[in-house]
Amino acid sequence: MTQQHLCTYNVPLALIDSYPNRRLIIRAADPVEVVQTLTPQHLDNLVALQLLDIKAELEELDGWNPGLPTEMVLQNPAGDTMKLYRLCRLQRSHPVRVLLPIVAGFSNAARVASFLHLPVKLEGASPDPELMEEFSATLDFFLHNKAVCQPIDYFGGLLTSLLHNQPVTLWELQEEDPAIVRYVTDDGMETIARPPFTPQGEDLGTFRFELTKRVLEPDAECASCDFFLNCGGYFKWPDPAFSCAGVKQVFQRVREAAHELQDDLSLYPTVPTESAT
Amino acid sequence: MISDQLSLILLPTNKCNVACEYCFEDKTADFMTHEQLSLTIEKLLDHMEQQQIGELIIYWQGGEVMIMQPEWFEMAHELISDAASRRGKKIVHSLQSNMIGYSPKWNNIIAEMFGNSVGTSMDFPNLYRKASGHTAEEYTRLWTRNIKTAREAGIHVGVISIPNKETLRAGGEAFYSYFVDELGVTDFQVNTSFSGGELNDAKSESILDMKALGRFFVELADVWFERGYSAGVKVGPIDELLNHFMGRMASLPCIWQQNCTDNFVSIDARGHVAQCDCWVTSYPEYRFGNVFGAKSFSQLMKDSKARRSFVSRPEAMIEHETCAACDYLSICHGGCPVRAYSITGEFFVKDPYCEVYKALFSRMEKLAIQLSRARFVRSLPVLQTRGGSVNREISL
Repeated sequence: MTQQHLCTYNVPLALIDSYPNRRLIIRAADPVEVVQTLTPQHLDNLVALQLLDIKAELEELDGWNPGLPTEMVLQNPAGDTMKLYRLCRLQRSHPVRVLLPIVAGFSNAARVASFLHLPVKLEGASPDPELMEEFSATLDFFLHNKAVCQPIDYFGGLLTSLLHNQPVTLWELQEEDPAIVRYVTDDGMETIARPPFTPQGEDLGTFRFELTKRVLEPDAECASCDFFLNCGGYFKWPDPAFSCAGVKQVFQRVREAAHELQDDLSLYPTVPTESAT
Repeated sequence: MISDQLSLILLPTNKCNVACEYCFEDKTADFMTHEQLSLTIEKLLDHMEQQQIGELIIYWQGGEVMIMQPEWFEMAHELISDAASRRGKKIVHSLQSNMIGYSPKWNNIIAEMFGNSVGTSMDFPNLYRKASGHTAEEYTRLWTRNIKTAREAGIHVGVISIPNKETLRAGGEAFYSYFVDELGVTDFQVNTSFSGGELNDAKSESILDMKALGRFFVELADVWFERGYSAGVKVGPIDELLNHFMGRMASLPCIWQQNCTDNFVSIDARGHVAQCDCWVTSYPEYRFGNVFGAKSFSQLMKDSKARRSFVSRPEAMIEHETCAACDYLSICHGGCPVRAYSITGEFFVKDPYCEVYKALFSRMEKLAIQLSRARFVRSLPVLQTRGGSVNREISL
């Protein structure tokens, strides 16, 4: 079994036949095209469907391959937030996740998605400085709003990891470790599954090893960072000079929340259940 | 599968045996024949197969269902059961009746087809429920006698009630006492009025002052929490809101679903299909089509422009309303389309009962916190004796 066979590829629908016998995430804008193109043989290797247009005719997926994990990419969170209601019906037949680029207005989309019980993945996880306030508000919402019952990742994954003291890096949480998931561009180039989705000349087979070596050099920011085991130098790609000051505050708040939860859970074994009272 | 369940509100007749002044239905003398029923069920089963839906719940109502005879239902039950079993589908039945035409001859079919349960309606005090040429008091006496007879026969009776201007004067305590203490009803639901169908004075005055109605719901919630919660009395939607805010599974009413088009549909005695019973007889412009004439039910639903308006309502409405900023969006989604449309004349606006809902949500959230804290405090001595190592202050 080669690494290629263990890897999952995010492939445009048009290139599906270029990846036989591989685990595939198929991405497409038009559900009609998906339903018409994919054969039962294709479905055998299909891990998930990634949809790129929330305005498309989603009802076409009613009854099609129920249970297939489906991710909706909200290209324009500010303008398309209320269109998330279109996913409610799809959610009844498929587990649906919303992928939100961290651009202005994403926090409101994350909030509405959560109110619709849709899990969220935030993409492009190094927010610009002007978006840190919005990012921070989204973290507050995730940690403290009682209506939240699905993860907003990476907050959710990070919280779970810290809560259970089981370090998992953001590369794995965000499904971007190229040893596990690779993005195939529309012209067939393999790259890391994170914007800008353009190959930077990396060797994907050794990418994590090389990155770790680089970011742990004695004077590098990661070398003295408390959170390296939960991060893995995630924010030092594609920009090695990215300053993690804002991100560390986010990590610190999630760690404090994890500690609070650990304290609460430490009391739990002796709390009688409702039925016992 | 889209959902494992489809709910159908079925009106086998559009005719009624009473003339409640605030009724939202535009009644006709039509009845559904067994042939028409069979045709309807077969088309629904086709739809269920296509959409991979396993179970159909039929809510039988009218008009008034007890205008039909028990024998009609016996045959209906048989033909529906046969059709469902041929297709490997499950169909269950629920009955909603005004109980004015009830007599013990209904007991067998209520037991066999409807799980020995019936839902009915009464207000406190009753202002608008009347038989033609009779008073509200006469209606109340007859209804009270009939539900007593039904309950003596072992039938579970659930009641829907709509507060009116006199309910608000009487207050939550008197309202609760009437149903629970006086009638012995332990399962009732409080709905809000809407002026569906042709407008009249009763319908106009049934739309109450929202602040006063909000206060009534809050007061009723407090009375229920104090007297009914531990005793197992169910007062919808109050009890289910408490479940929701306690983090338990909750069954919230249709008015607060993400999108009611995903959950149910209604068919009347003429085969007209619409979103629910509130629309099917009174708003022809919002009908989805006619099941008797349609080639397939799935196609009818897919092609209907009216249905597309319903499907798109939450996103279109919330876009320009204040709902997105509301912390209760997750349990309300802008509320009920028929209440919005019948009261404001606009379809893509939020439910005018918003203020009432928010008052109730807020109260139930506080009661849930209060209950959770009380339970936690009760557990503290257990913590200290069993663990022996808890030495920190626990601030509540």
